[in-house]
Amino acid sequence: MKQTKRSSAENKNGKQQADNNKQASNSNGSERHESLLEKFFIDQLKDIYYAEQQLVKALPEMQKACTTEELEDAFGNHLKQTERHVKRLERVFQAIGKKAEGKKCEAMDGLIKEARSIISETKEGSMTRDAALIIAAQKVEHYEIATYGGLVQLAITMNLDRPAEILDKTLQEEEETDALLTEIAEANINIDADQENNYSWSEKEETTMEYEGSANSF
Amino acid sequence: MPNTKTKKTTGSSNGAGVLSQPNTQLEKLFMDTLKDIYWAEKQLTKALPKMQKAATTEELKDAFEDHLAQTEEHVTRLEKAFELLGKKAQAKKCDAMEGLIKEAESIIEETEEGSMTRDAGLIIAAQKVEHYEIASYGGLAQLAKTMGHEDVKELLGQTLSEEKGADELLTEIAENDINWQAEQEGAEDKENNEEE
Repeated sequence: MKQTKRSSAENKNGKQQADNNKQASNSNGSERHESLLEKFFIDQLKDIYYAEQQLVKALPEMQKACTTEELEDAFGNHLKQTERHVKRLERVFQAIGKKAEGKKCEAMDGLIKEARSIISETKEGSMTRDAALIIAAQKVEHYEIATYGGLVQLAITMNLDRPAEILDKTLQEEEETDALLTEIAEANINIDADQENNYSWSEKEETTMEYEGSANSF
Repeated sequence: MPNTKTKKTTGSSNGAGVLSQPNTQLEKLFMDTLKDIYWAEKQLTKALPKMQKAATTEELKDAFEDHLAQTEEHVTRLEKAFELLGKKAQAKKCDAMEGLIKEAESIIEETEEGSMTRDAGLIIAAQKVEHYEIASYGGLAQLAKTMGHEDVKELLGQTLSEEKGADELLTEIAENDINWQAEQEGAEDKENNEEE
């Protein structure tokens, strides 16, 4: 039925409908009547699904590279959260009757590349490395905030109430993570990284012996 | 140096003048991040006219045009920040921004000219760029403050709030108008199909 409708429309509006056919067959062939906006929504979903999966791989590397336990813990917690985000996305795919699929996301690739190059450009064990890792992680968070924000808005527009709720939950968590990272940077790490300038590397060892309860913002 | 995973003390305040000691680690990080966003802003001045041209609605075209003027100002402000720090303005290729701009370009390719869905797509692409900038300027302002560079922090903070404003404006445009029309567009398509 639908197929005949499409082919009759094709005579009228050939190119556009041919494109639509191509899109439909790209995504399993069985999915018809996908509006342009739906297609865009699904593309964005695939994009962030890929991004979250990449992040699951990158976070352990970032965690391992951290200087302070505070940041190490923050990345550890965010890794668990990110794994939940992946599962949530799978539920969204399910809710709209689509197979969960990732689509390469150049921006996230770039962000993770940047995080890796920060690790190689900063000294192991330095506070500057943590300051840098925080900024790299915040760039990732903001990428996700923009993406989830857009997805929630689109889901609401398309009356996809349940997906909108699920996506919004993740959005909130990404915003909280960003705020937490700012707190960690402000409360402690940046100042310590600045202090680092005053110490030579041999002197620094002494200072690391002194513990202080100031790093309890976590 | 066996100084991993230890928390360090926060000693007495260091104050201004940190950058007068060249090549400290934090300074290097700050300069690298500044060069990164300088590159990113310059790329954005090239990408925005294309996005403006591709936009369907006048509203979004105007928004991109205004943001282009703003972005040019941000470039100038960054040059001023470099100057205040006694450094030459220099750009450093930023993989993330390159990816974001590629994404915007592929959205233009993948959506139909003249469709509202294209605008909905362009808005999200632009918001990703804005959020990249918000994270960068937020981090930079925080670092400038830590290093006692109030004047640089002011400049960066000014841009930061403009980027946040641009992000909010885009959300507003999407919510008020474009997303709904893009949704209608889908409905019309379906109706047309039904009729035939």
